[in-house]
Amino acid sequence: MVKQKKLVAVLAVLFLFTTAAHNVFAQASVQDIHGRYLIEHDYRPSSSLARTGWLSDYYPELLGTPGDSKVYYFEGSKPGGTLFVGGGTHANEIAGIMAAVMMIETLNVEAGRVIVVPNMNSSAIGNQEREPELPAYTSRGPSWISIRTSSGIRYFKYGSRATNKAHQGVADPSGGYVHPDSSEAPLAGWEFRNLNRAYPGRSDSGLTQKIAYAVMQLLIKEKVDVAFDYHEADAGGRLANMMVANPKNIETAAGALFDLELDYGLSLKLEPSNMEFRGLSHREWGAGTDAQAFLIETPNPAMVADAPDDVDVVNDPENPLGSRVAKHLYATIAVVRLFSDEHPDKAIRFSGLPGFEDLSDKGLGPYLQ
Amino acid sequence: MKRFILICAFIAALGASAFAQQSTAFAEKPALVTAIGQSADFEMIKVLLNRAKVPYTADPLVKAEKLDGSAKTLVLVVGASSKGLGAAGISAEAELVRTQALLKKAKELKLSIIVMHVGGAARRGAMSDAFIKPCMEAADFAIVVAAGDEDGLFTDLAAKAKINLAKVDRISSAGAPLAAAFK
Repeated sequence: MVKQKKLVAVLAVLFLFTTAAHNVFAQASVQDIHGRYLIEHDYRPSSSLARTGWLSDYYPELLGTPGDSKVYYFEGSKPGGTLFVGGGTHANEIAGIMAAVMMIETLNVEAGRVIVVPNMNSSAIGNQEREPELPAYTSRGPSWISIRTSSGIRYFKYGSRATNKAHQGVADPSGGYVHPDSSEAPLAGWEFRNLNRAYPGRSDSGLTQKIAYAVMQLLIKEKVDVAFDYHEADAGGRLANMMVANPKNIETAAGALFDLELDYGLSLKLEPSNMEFRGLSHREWGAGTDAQAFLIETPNPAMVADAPDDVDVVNDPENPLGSRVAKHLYATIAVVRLFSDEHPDKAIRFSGLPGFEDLSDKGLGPYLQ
Repeated sequence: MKRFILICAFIAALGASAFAQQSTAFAEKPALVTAIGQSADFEMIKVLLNRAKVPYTADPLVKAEKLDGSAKTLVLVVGASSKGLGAAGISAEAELVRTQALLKKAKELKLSIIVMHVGGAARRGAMSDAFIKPCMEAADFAIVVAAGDEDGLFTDLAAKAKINLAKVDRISSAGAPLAAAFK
């Protein structure tokens, strides 16, 4: 009887500790009543949110796995086209996640629809284990970033580039990763867990491939017209400040980049998808769906090869988070404007986002809920 | 004396201005635009031509034998991209051979040649410079984003070829001198 009481007491303490820890960190891996594996992000959608759903709605085998992720749907009162925005394909590329979050929290859609997935790889956002075979930049950075807003300090999760090895379900290939449709030389084995090498995905492979498969099904089922994948890159590297576009929509990208220079003095480089290099979002989304496909790269100081482990990814003097988020959002706006002008029956109109200079200068705090 | 100095300064300023920007439209329409080095800057120049309402055809890999005189001006978007060359399935050496043949045929057909280098420092280096030099030697006019001429290569080549060179700060500023070059 005494032993039973002790056991109950220990369990009660454990329960209280778990609950307290969950409240303190506002994020824990739990499963809801449907068996969904959840990370409870503190995102506060604008009043124009129509509904939320899940990636597993498009591929039910994701249900209850760490690959499932929340999908936010915004709908205008007028008909139009559909814009898709994905952040967190690589969960260490925080500006992509925060640009998607800024959309969720401020967006007011007037015509058409906007679908946002802020954490495309939910497994990677909860994974910051430094694996010896992965370069340091893939997981370097804080576990959380904090941003002071009018409602207090808010915390946002920072993750790593790759799916958690424990979640993938299939071991990294020992001979290196080769995309099933590629004839190129093998990549490092861990690239098997890189979502942006996995498209169009597979239903009979690892978790990363299943996430990619679900995203493709979303793009097809929702008849997405314009799709963005938000990324970051080494701040001093070739990819930083670049828009990559599928060849079928590269003219729209080029026009948008001119408008960005003229309207905001923002210069981004342009690169077309290499159609021989398989698995990347802009290449496969464009080829496998009707969507015009784009990817944006902004400069993340934590991704510089020799950056210190305590690098400040929010208040970096050269590339503060606000300016990186502004680049993502305004590159998207420029493309959507051109697309809407060229396809008036599929126009996508929205407002509510902070101004380019305001966001670049003041950061995210004044504009988040 | 003071008046003389002022007049001299005015004339010098006029001369400098004329050198910096093509003041007289010289190029006939339509244009043919091609990529020398297969960079995506080619797409940006297509947008500039569209917005300037200059009729053109675009072929990033056009060969000399395709020049038949129907296009009156050849616009060369110069800058090497190893990724672009790879995607196009052409080596840098073969691209240089294509370029030289194109320039020779364009001269035979008396086409106007406009060189555009808008990729800045990222489109410089040994491979890009190998394309830049023959193009500048054959050009009638060149437009360059200043970041691509920090070492003065374009300035020197333009002076040697005795052609006008328009240096602009940004790619979006390249549209005005390009439009002004066409009759």
